[in-house]
This record gives sequence, structure tokens and C-alpha cells, in this order.
Amino acid sequence: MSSLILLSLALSGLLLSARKDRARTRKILEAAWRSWLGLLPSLLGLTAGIGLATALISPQAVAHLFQEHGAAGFLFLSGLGTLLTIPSPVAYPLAGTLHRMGASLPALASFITTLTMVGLLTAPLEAKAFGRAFTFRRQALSLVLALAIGAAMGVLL
Amino acid sequence: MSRTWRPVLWILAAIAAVHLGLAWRFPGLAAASARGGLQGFGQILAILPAVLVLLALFDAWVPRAVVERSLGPGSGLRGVAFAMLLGTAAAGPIYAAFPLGLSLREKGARTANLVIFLGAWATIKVPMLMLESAFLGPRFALIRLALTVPGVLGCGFLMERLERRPAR
Repeated sequence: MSSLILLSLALSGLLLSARKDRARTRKILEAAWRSWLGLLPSLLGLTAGIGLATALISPQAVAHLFQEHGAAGFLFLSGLGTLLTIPSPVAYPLAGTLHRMGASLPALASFITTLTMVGLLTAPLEAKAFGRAFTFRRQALSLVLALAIGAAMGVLL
Repeated sequence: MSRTWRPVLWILAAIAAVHLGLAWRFPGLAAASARGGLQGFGQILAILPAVLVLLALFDAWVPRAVVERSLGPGSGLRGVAFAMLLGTAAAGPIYAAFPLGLSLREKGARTANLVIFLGAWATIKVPMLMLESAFLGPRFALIRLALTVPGVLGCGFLMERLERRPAR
């Protein structure tokens, strides 16, 4: 759904741009292609790494671990969320499945927040764009925020 | 041309080698891993090319002065609201936001607004609220939203504080 919206936005933008300035639009397409090629190696490594990780961790082991309601389950989920980065349309169904398996809601709040905001696997990409110091600070602050949200959910829910 | 393709070919060869190695002893695992990897790459393929085109358009047509005025140091509360709105309206995982974030920073956006934009992009999605409610309940979704918005704002301003202090 959202990808269709993005695609139509990009296409109409290109059409508008081409109408105004042909040569400039050509340059725009070249620039987009160059950044795609630049991103491709990290993206391929990233998706292959996530594919391998999800294949290695069996559903039974996941279910067993997530049935713990205490601090261990909370920390484990937050740790997993910290490692991986998953877009939110994928994160919510995953969290829903885990909830049915018995994971607690505060742990899932922390899980979703770390999953979408913090990503050790995507940190190299982020560092490439903004530098190491920025990446480290942002991820550390986001992790603290996610844990705080999880803890606050435990009190509020 | 060959120089830009070389890293891509290397990483593809490495992935193929790992999977062939796995397939020798654990064919099921190799297949599951390949399936997961392809699925993930497909998700990226659905989003990223359009994002990169929009970005290049943005880069070529939006002048630096506009970004500086709406997201720069003098932009105040309006800038903060704009950064959050910009992140909320977008689709895709946080790493799709890095190139646009970089462009915003190069064009003069302040650090707090950049961090707020990234945080909002990652985890505050108004359309996604429906999805979150469907899977985890509206109460859960609304409380998490109410906690995340001030949290992301706090992160943004704290980051700016940390950056202003000279590194030891």
C-alpha cells in the first residue's frame, strides 16, 4: 500500500520535473541510480543476515523464551529489538504473534520501539550518513527511551 | 562501471558461498535463510527505489534556504512540528530515512529536528496506529504513542545538547 503511494509520488514528481527541465531530470535519475548502487552492498548483507538469523532461531525456541513474563523475557525481547531493524508494518504483526504466544505487553512495547528505532545491524549504514558519534548517541538514547516506555507501559496498562 | 559493481558482486558471492556451505549439511536451514533474505530484499525493493528518486528530486529542486528556514536553528517550534510531521508521513523502515536525513542536514537542518525526524519516521506513524491497534489493542497503541511523542522530542533536544559540548 504505502509502497504504491511512494511509487506514484516518485513517478509524478519525475514527470513534473521532466516537463520543467529535461536535462536536470536526467541528472536526477543518474544521482538516484548512483545512490542505489552505493547502498546495494550493505542492503544485500543486511537482508541476508536477517534471513539467516530468522532461519536459525526456531519458532519453538522463540515461543519458549517469550512465555517468560519476568525480567528475562523483557530483556531478551528488548535485546532482539535492539539488534534488528524491521519496518513497523512488519513489526506489529510480529508483536501480535508474540503476544498470542504469551509475551507480556510492556515487553512488547519496548520490543516494538527498539525494533523500529534502534538497529545494531543497520548502525553501519547510519554511521555512513551521520557519523559514528551521532549514531552511537542516537541509538543509546533511543534504547533508554524504549526501555523507559516498556517500564511505563508496565505501570499504566 | 565495473568499480561500482565490484562490492555488489563480492557480497553476492559471499552470500552464495554461505548458503552453499549451509546447504551441504543443513539444506532446510539454507532454504529458509534464502527465503527470508529474498523476502526482506523484496520489501526493500518495493520501497527504496521510489524513495531514492524522490530524494534526488528533493535534492535538485528544493533550495538550501528553504530547508534552513523551515528546519534550521531559527525554525523554533514550527520546525520541530514540521520535522515530526515529515517523519510521520513517510513510509518505510528507518534506514530508508537516512539519505533524506543526510540531505536535510547538509541543507542546514538543526540536530534536534534531524533526530526528531528520524525517530518519528521509525516509530510514530499515524496510519500505522490502526495496525498496531488491530494486533495489540487500541489502549496499547494509544498509550505507546502518548509515551513515544514526548520521548522522541526529548531525545532530539538531548542529542543537540550532547553535540554542542566539545568532545574530550
